[in-house]
Order: sequence, then structure tokens, then C-alpha cells
Amino acid sequence: MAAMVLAATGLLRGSGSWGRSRLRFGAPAYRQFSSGGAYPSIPLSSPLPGVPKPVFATVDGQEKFETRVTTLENGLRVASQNKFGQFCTVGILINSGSRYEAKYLSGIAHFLEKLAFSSTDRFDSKDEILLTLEKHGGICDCQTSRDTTMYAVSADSKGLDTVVGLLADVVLHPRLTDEEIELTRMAVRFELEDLGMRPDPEPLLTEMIHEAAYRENTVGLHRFCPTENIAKIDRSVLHSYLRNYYTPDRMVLAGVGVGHEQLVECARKYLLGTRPAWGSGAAVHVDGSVAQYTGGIVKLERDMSSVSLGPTPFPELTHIMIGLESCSFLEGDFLPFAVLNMMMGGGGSFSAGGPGKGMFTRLYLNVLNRHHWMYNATSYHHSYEDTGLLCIHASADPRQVREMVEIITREFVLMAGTVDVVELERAKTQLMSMLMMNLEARPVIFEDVGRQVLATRSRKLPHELCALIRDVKPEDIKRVASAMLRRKPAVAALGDLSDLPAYEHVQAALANKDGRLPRTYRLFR
Amino acid sequence: MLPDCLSAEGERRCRRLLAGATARLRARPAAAAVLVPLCSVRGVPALLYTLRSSRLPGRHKGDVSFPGGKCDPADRDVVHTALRETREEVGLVVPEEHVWGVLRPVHDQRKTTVVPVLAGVGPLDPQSLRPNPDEVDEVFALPLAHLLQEQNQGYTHFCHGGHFRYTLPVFLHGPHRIWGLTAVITEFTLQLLAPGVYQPCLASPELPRG
Repeated sequence: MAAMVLAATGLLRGSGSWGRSRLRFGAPAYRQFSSGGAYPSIPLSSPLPGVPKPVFATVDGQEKFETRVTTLENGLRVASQNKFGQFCTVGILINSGSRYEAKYLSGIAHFLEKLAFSSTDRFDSKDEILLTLEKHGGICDCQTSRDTTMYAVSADSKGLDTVVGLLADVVLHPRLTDEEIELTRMAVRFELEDLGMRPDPEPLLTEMIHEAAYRENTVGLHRFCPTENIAKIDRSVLHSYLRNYYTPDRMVLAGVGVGHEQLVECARKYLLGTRPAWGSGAAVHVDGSVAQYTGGIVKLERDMSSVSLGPTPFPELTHIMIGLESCSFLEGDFLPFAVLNMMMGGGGSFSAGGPGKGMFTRLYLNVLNRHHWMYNATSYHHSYEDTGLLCIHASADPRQVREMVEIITREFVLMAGTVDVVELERAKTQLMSMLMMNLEARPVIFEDVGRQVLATRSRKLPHELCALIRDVKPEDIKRVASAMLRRKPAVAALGDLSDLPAYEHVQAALANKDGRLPRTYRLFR
Repeated sequence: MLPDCLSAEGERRCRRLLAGATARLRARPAAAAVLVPLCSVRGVPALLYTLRSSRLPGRHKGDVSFPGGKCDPADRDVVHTALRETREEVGLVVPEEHVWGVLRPVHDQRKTTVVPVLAGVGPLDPQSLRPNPDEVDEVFALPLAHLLQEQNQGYTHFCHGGHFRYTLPVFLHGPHRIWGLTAVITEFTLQLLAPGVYQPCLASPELPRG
């Protein structure tokens, strides 16, 4: 090696030494500029010295690790699912959301989502939190839905202690300074503006269908903060809510890729016996309302002729969503509804298609392939712990709203008709494969573990769910669809609504054996 | 402890408690009346409910309710309406002497008054009834013991215009869920029949206004 360095420096000194070095060291045999020459004599069949020994996952076929759940003395549940890998996902899920805001100002959950991971007692600012996480290669996020709030961090497994400490601080000791609340107000205003402006009306329609289906109670309450409440929400309002809903018995600390004993130890250290920022008064006024499905219609007339945000024009569409009550995810009928939702499938008419996209689902075969003027027909299934909603979203030109409604009511009525065995098997296979594919991702496993333990204190493993899905028979589908059709529909409509049939007509169409709207005769159109 | 409300002593007590309201409200015109049939199914006291046909037009199709309907001008009073509708919908003939009294009227969202009439119909087998298929899909009975269990009782807070307005009870885990005005009338009945045992969720005696 030393000889080679000398030769290189000899070269660099200039042309004078060039000739000299050539003569001094003899004819150059070969020049090596790569460092691979230091290990020429180790064969490929033996490991390299000085390289750390790799750890491989064993391919076993099934998830060997079980989900373990421990309940601490204060009611907090700790759930963990071990998984091979260098990283872990840990988070806190809380039974809190817009459905509990009946006696509070609507929009608190929205504010809490935007205020998450801001300054706390130990961390002076959001940047400090992100810097701390960066040391462990971590990222953080908060998501609220109508009934659950989730704070999650994904980081290196070695940083578990720091991560749990950070989570505890963020959830129980946020500072909620006036400056942060002011920034949050701005963020909420931007989000509301964006909701109204985007060409894809899906979040807005979801809000509207919930409002129509659960008139003014629990899950029908606004998920996004209404404009008039933005200025009214401040620290004391947030504290009064947090005092009642961020209590240990409503929380689950879930972790994926961590050992159970370590997680419980960290939970005891940071989440047991600590006094939250809003004082340790006992929770009163906890809303235990049962979600009440009422059915109904919510209309929003809006000019959709120029929703395009760029130079390409977007066609003017009227969007409708028709929903019926299904069942909660705790009931036995939940999986037949999930299979039914998969069987209906659907999507946008401009889909590129392909395997697994649901091109053979009913809404594609019977609706989008036959009626080329329909832009969209998609089926959704929302499910909560005491109720559920199965709805179909459709959009078309405003002049064809009546036909569109009739096509959708016909599809609803056909749900209770004969179910082809091939179609059912396809839907079941698609549901199982989607379940297994999504559960390969660690964040999805985390959310699954957390939500199941929050609702039921235990977790059904994927292969158990697959076995239950395989058991769904055509009679189950027919039974649940018939029971669903007896109830009142919920209708949400957005856009130019001049041709929209009346709610009573939609109701009559769903009771009709063909799904046809009652004939109306109008002399003057 | 479920007091023995089917006994003669229980009946006398209820009649006495309802006498004042009955005298006042019986002849007063109202929009609709329902019958609350307190029956005995296999020796167990129970309330009889109907599942309205999903073929009916109107806002209440497919809902669980007590037998009853709109007051006809030909009816003598609300008790007569309730008994007539029960006969038409369910096929159950209840003689007027079996009526114990009139409960507190309830108002629905459109401010129409519905007057509940409590009657003791004695031993009954719901399977033997032949309901009118145009109006009623199913008739079922829920034992009072089931309704009085706390795990079967729930409540829902309702808002309006962004503020909390009122609370309604809901009864769960039966063949069908009982909510809305029917649940309110059930609550009045349970308060009357089992005063110490049932904890009402409508804290104030004010009626819910839509």
C-alpha cells in the first residue's frame, strides 16, 4: 500500500518526476484505484470479517406473534404486536371525536387534530419534537375521525423510551398557547376553504350523508369545525373537553414491532400516575349517547360549472349519495356487509382498470359499463361501534339526475335479490386479499391493533377474519340486504338540483320491487 | 325488584295515579293516539310493540311503534281512537273497561300531539295475533324485566342549530331497537309501573321539542 501511495505522489509532482518514477519502480504492473484490493484472498463462501452479522426473518406462513393486551391500574390498555424489523410504530388511540361534541362547541376535535405535536411541557416547539424524533429516524402524525383520535409515531425500535415519553407529553401535557391556537384557526379556515373549492366533493358528501342519516346526533355532528365556531374555540374550551374525554380508561397505547414487556414498562413510567395539563379532576358529563339513525335528506345547491382549478375544463356534475343503515363492526352481520360493499365496488368511469381494481363489481358491470354518461358510481361502507352506513355515490350531468337516482335505487333493490356464486366468491377473495395486503404495512397493523383493542379489548388476527369471510353465504347477503332496505334512506345531493326527485319518491323507489321512481306527470317542464 | 304490576292492587294503583290526567285529557282533541298494551306473555309482564310496514308512505315507515294512529272525526275520544286503531292494525280487541288511563301526551317534530293510552290486556300470545299486512309487518312483546335492565337502556343527545337541545331514551337488544316517541312513551310507562326501579333519562318533565 505504502509503495502505491509513494508512486501516486510521485506522479502528482509533475512531469519531471514522471520519468524518474517509472525508472525507479520499474514497469507499472497494474494500478489500483479502488479499495477492493485489500480483501483479495477471502472466498465468496465464507463471511467477510468486520461486517455485522445479518438477522433474517423466517418465512413461516402465518403471523406467529399474537397481540398481547395488558390493562394498567388506571384503566389504560397497552397492546402490542411484535413484528420483524428495525422500525416500530407506537401510538395512543383515544375514544374521542366529533361524535362526543353534542354538549360542546362543534369543531373541538378538528382543532385538536391540527394542534397535535405542538409545544408541550418538555418540548418548547413543534420543531424541537421533530428534531428529537429525527435522532431516531422517526415521523409523527395525528388523525381524528368521528369516533377515534390517533396520535402515532414511527421510529427506530431502539428509541422506544423516548417515543413513548414524547407521546405521553403530547397527549397529556400540551401547552396550547394562544399563538398556536391562532395558527390553528388559520389552518382550519384554509381547510374549510379547500373543501369548498376542490373538484372532488367526496369529503363534503361524506359529511352531508352523515348529517342526513344521523340527524343532529352523535356521528351526524359536524366533523369539520363550522365557520362560526372557529373564533370561539380557545384554551379553556379545549381543556373542558379534554378533561372529560382524554382519560386513561378511554385510551389505548398500541405498538407494532416492540416487545410487550418493554412497552408496558414505558407506559408505567410515562402514562401512569401523571397529572395532565388540564388538572386531575374526575370526568363528568361523559357522553354515552347511542347513535340514532334517523334517515333524511340534505341538499346543497351549488354552481359546479367551473370547479376546475386549472386550464382544463371539468364537466359540470351533480353528485348524489344514497345511504342505508347497515350494522356496527361489533355485530356478526358486519362481514356480510363488508362483502356486499366489495361486491358493489365501483369507482370512477375514467379508471384505467386492471386486475384487482374491481372491474367486475356490480357498479362497473351494471352501471358504468351500460350508462356511459355516468361519471362515477362508488360504494362506501362506514361503520362505528353502534351503527353503520352503506352508501353509494353517483355523479352525472345535472339534466340526468332523475335517471341516475333511479339507477342507484335499482342497484340497492337488486342487492336483496339473487347473488351469483361466482360474484360472491370474487368479492370474498378480493376482500381477503385487500385485508392481507394492507396488513403487510406496519402503520396499518398499528391502526388495526389499536382500533380493535379500543373497541373490544382483544384483536382478531387476519387469518381468523379470513376464515369468517370465507363463511359468508349468499343467504347472509340476501338477509342483511333485505333488512337494510326496510329502513328509511339517507340522501345527500350537491350541485344543480333542479331535477332531483323528492325524498318521498326515493323512499318509494327503494320499496318498489324494481327500484323504479314513481311516475310523475308534469304538464309544464 | 319488579313490583307486581299485573296484580289487582297494581292495577288499582295505576288507575288512581292516572285518574286526574285521564279526566282532563280524555275528551280533549288531539292529532293521534296510541295504545300501550300491558300484557302478560307466558306469565311475564310485557309491553306489545308493532313494526310498521315498510310499504307505508310517510315519515314513520318501518319504525317500531305502539298500535295507534290519527284521530278520526267519528271517534268519541282519544281512548276510542286508540282502541279502534289497535283492532284494525293488530286484530286485538280491547274492551274499554281494560283501559287504565291516559299517560302524558308527547309531541313530535311537527308539533302534533300523540296521546298514549295505557290498557291492561291480560294474558296474550303475540304469535296468535293476525296483524293487518298493509300496516304492520310484525308484532312483538318486550318483557318489562328486559326493559328495566340497565344494559338495555341507552340515551341519545340531540342538537339543533349547533347547540345541545334534548335527550331521548333508547331501548336496545330487543328484536328491534326502540327509539323516538315510542321510547319516550315507554319511559313514561316504566316510570309509572316501576317508580323506584327505573331511572329516567329525560331529567326534566319538559317534553322534547323538535
